[in-house]
Amino acid sequence: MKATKAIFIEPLLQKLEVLIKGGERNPLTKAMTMFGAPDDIDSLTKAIERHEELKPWPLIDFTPFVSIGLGSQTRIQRFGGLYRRRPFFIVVRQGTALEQLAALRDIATIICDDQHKIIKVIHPDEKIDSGYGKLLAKGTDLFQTHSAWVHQVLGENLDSCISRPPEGRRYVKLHDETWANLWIDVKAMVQDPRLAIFVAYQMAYALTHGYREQLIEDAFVVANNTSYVIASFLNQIFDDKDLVIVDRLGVYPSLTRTKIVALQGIQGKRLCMIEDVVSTGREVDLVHLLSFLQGGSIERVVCLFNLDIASPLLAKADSLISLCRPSLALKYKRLAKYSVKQGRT
Amino acid sequence: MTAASKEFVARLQLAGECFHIVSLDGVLLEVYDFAAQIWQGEKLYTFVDHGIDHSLKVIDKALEVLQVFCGEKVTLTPLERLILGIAALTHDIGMQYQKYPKAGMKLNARDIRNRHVELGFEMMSDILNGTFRTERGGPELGTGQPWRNFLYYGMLVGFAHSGTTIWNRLKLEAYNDKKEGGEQLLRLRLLAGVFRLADELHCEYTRIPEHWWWIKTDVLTEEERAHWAACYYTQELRLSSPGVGGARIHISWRVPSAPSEDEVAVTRTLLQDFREKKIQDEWELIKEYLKWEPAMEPCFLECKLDTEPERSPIEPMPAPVREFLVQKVRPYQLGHKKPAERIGTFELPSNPEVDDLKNKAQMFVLSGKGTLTGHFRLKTGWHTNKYLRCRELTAQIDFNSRLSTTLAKIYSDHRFTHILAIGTSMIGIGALLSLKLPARLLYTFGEALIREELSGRTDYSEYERAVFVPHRSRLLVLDDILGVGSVIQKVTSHLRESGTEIEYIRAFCIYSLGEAIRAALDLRGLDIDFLVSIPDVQYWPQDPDTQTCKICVGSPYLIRDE
Repeated sequence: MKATKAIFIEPLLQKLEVLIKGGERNPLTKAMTMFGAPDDIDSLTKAIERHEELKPWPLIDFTPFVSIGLGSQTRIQRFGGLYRRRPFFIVVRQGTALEQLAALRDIATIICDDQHKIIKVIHPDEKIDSGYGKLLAKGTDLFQTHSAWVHQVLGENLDSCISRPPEGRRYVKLHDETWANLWIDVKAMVQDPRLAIFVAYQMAYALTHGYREQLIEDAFVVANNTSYVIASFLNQIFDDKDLVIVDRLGVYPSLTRTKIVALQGIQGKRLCMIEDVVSTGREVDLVHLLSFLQGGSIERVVCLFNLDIASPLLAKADSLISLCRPSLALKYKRLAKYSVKQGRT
Repeated sequence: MTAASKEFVARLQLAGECFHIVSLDGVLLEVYDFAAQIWQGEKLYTFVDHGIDHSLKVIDKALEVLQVFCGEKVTLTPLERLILGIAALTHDIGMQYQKYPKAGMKLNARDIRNRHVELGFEMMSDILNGTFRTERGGPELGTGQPWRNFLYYGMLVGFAHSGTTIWNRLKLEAYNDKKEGGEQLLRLRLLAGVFRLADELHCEYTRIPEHWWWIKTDVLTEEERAHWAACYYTQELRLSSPGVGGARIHISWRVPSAPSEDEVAVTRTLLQDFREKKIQDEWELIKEYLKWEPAMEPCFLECKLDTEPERSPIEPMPAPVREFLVQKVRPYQLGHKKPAERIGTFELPSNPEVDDLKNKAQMFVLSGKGTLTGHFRLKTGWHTNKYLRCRELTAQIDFNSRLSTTLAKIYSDHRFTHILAIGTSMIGIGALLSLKLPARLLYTFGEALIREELSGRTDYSEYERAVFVPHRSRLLVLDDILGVGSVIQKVTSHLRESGTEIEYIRAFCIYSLGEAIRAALDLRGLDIDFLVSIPDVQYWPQDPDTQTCKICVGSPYLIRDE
């Protein structure tokens, strides 16, 4: 697993979590327009103070926000005092109201363009080391830095949901009769709703390139229950998207038994598949096939963990987005009964 | 060297022990002096004791845990005993944050208590970095090698006593069992597991200050008050060994000298919920590390409250704690007699939000999207004139979101600890509800139940693999349709037969079909709430007219002519 030093704090995620918990409708729109209430600033302050290490400074990601309310701008001024106690960077987009505000309050600020490339880093006291070195050089893609951070956070949480073979055995037999040296229980992971919402937020972040592009697919597709839990939160974030459930796919699917449940049908729809773990890509391929038979088209697949055993054969090039690729760090081995090379998957 | 510090070294049998050229008792004595300075002038007097006395007690408990679980099979190396000592002396120093704050970072008492692990870890990090004296005005400790390693390992073991941040860090490969310096065995996970259990076991009345007036103030939240009161009424936690690899914990408890029957019952409730259950919950986490040690396999723990309390001249339960228990916890506990009107099936009470949802669910049926009409034989053997499918309704984000919000308002008290969603239909709602209630989501594939039914199996092993319900949980079962009630009945039967003690169970279904059938079912003791009742669905047990009948095996997608 490639280590990165960057640490992000995401005010939009904090706000979204509160709104979804409160049962608000259109939470994403509200979070983007209503951020800045006293509670928001308080939770942000706590998140900064909770940060264990002094270096590197956390990056507070304000890039999804275009503007914040006038009332909240005065509250954000409290950031000046906070910054002197515990320094951090504010990451803002070029040309937004926040850019001017940060400059006025003398806070370290990273300004980036619409493609997440760093344009400028304002650092009130250049002599102090923020712990980043060349990572904040002009032209660096912050989106990639963010992805690496997500990979690292998920990798840390992954440790708690790995099952290994019992003592004296080297491999466990999986449901589909292949053998593996470990088993990832994502179900246990997403039973923590805060972690599930974190995963959903990061999937949405990846799909919309940092909440900037609203042009995502017409509906989400899920093919198992764990993905359904993640999709429930994802669906809350994008409240105008349908959820398509591929029912009874199972380990040995039968096309006569499997049914796609969709409110309006999927004929002519562009779909985005949510998947918990991709290893050989079998489930992704089957869902591609079923969607195709019913007239839908899967444009992108976003997965939580990609074990990189094989790629889905039917997925379009570059359409698979993986939040975490832990197989190297885990030393994951899967001894497939039929290998892809033999063409018998 | 004081008598107390000598006692500490003696308990850990470190006198004269060395690691290469470093004298281990010398290291422990220095850490002891350091901890004594930290705890001088305890700041948070409103909380239970966390000072040196507590450290000593935890050491005793840890050694007892090892003895009870492993007997002579596991012996700690001197290095491990030192790490245990350092962990005991430093694990709660975060509670003294007010004495050694970071510049410009003031925290209130509640924040300090909630974050004491994190704050303590920061304090120890400053010590390792050599900045504790300059930046916080605190005492110093040696930071050269191997001092640094000893302190760091001690920190990891100690600060894993609460929360999961440091606990999970120990899962990294770097902390596998090893021979430190090629010399002495070091089993950090074993130490962390034993230490966490030992810390949990030192929750007795001796840790509570005599004047606990503050428990009646607003300093603490409802749950915190109950937690401290549980310590006050705990006389002693005794460990015994029913055989190698397991342990029993006997909780003896106390009540005021002449208690009323109700007072005894409320105190019992308090200790069941905040002592017995807490230890069992912690055990679920702890056993993972203890099992790492091969000598501990198989490893189990039973925790039981003594039947009768002891009488002592102590204070009666403070009114706020009593109120919290009587109103929020006790009504949902096992064995508590529920009022007669609570048993049965109930339509959700009408309000604008509920009515709106009802309309939506009714429209879904009326539009014909969700219903199949004809003659069907269900997987249970019953026949029906209508078959309802709900998944298209629960795949609608708007409906899921609003239903989960409404349910969260209705069940907003502390009655549920777990939500069990049955089948794909309810998982989305369960997931959203778990964010809104202080309850954990469990879910199962409805498919597993169906397969088991088809194969005519009578045991529930497959179901057991599909979902694990923890002991003494208070459970909300979510199902989409209450027809003949077979799935809910199966769940409850399984829980009864597997011996899982459930304190309280209630179910919620979106649709309740038919009227008469539920009365014939043995759903006693289970309350079921539902959103919409569809009365014109009929059920009958058998039908001679099999020619027109279609078989429906659990899902309308599997309908075929007989």
